[in-house]
Amino acid sequence: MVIEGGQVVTIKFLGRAADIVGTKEVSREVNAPTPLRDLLEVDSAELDQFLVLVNQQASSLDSLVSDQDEIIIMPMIGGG
Amino acid sequence: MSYTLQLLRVDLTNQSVSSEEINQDTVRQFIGGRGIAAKLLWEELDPGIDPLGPENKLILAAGPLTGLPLPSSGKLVIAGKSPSTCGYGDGNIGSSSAVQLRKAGYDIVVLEGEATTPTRIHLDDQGVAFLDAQEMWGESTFEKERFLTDEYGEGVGRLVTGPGGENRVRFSTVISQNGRAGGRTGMGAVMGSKQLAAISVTGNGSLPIENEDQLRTLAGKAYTAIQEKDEYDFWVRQGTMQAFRWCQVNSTLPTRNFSEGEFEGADGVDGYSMERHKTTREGCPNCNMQCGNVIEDYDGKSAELDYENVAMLGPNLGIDDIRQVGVLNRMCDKFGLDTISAGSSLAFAIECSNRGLIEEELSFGDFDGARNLLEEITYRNGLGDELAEGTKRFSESLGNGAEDWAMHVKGLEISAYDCHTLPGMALAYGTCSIGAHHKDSWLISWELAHERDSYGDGKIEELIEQQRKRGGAFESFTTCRLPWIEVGFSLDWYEDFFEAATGIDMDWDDFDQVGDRIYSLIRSQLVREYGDQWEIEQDFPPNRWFDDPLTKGKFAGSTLDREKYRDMLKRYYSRRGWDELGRPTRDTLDRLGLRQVAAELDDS
Repeated sequence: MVIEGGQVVTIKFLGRAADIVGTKEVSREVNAPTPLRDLLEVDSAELDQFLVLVNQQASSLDSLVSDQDEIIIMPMIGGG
Repeated sequence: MSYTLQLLRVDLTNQSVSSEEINQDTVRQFIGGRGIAAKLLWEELDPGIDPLGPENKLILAAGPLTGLPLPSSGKLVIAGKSPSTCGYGDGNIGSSSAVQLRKAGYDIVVLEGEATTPTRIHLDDQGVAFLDAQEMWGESTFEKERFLTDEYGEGVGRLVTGPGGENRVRFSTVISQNGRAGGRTGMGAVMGSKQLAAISVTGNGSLPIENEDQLRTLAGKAYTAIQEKDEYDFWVRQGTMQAFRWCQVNSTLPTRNFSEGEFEGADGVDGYSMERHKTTREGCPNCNMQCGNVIEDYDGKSAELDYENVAMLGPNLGIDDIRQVGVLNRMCDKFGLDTISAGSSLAFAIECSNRGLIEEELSFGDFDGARNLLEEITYRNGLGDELAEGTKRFSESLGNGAEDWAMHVKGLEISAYDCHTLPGMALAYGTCSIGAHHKDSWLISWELAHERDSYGDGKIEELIEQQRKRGGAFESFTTCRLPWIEVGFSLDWYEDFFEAATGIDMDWDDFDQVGDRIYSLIRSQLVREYGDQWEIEQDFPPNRWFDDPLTKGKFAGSTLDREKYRDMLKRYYSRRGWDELGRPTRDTLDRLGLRQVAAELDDS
């Protein structure tokens, strides 16, 4: 949910990660740097094995995210 | 008892056959499949021969795991000197012919010479029949297969070349089961050049398994282990098409002749779009991870899709309708063309048209234009005759800088990952054993999980690890790598599979050494072929990735750095034990048990 006037991060979920959370993209309000894990509305342990990028940099669910950050959570695919 | 592989030689010129046995020591050194094919081609082909002449050989190579009741084992390597690269070329095909071949008692088939008139062969437990094929010559792959099933029944193993192969299109493939292709390095053209229209095989014997009880027990557990993986259900839904959205979001989707990494029409061609049109799945024998997603295409017919062909015939051509992509893909299967190289060649032609280098008016997003041009390539009409030579040769004939955006390495068109922002994957393409292909290694997940823009040693280590396992072991077992790389099925299983199948105790350290041996042997073949003409730039990706920045998306402005790439490539050579030009050193070849190869290179 986006709260007007708040500071917002966008999280994209790809492939199976989207199935786990039930959406392909979500925005969250953050008022201060916040562990990504705390912004997820599912048991974050289910996403521990996924690749996490914050602003295209390799990160983790424990990375601190803040206003305007773009986050991608996706599987480590093998490239066929 | 000693484990052996059975080799059958088929002389198409004289219509004669002979058989040989490959001993256990050789199996330990080369395993089977790609390993054995590379060894045979090194020993039996003189450098400089015409890949489309009678001196070339077409090898069907199973490995010790091929066709056995094990996960995803229905694979067969098809190898020869490549008409695209003039180096070692191969591809693996998922086909019931792999199973039938081994049941008939053959592991390796070496097809030599060339027939004087269109010919087909039928193999069974009793031997080889040479049969007239004039009736099917010129027909599509689908028609040829129908001919074979009418004669031998649905269960017959089938390998056919299409009109593309008959007309020696340099990127034509061998087709089986109406949509499974192998040998994108031009093996369809090698088959066509021999006037060999089709190979059919029926086996009634038992599969060669040293410890059948042990193997069947393992297999039962293995199939269950794969199905229980977390990744399995999504794989069943999208298969390799899960890579489409993944690449789009990460700016690695080949778009308009690899000029961009993101496509504005992605929603119409991604994995979810495919799911909306999906009618069923197809796959190789013995597989519970079938990756062929079948849709109803724009013409109302069935087309079997995976990521590579959708990316190359969709975004890379500016086409945003999965059903139109389905038509183009089905045409490639019907004509026996490689979808990756076809997509790249069409995109190259469109860019040539846009730049005024050719008279034909072509444009990105023009579906009808693309399908017309595919037909012209197949039958070598007009512009198609030049495109049938592949982007390397066509760009060289055009000049005017066209080589800079002809998207190939060593003559093999790059598969479906844009590398403006991926130094490691660019190196993977640059050093792949057969030219620019993703089969031997795929570094992108690893690069994103570490340091994407790095040219560091970590990427080199990971690349060699993958080349050993993907390009060495799996291609030689010969079985599919996807259970391991896509759903996390453990590599440990394969030591047990191998021991049960062969009675030979080898572990991954041994398999990795075989992988290194194969890589240095294939490299030696390239070095011998090119001689003094060999230069390090042949291991470089196209200039486009160094000089033409992305203009869209979050990586706008990005390119690779040429000098950093050169430095990384030299560190790769060093790590492999090759000299600064990328030639295996005598010490390296000695260490790998390839002393005779070293001696021949010294003499050449």
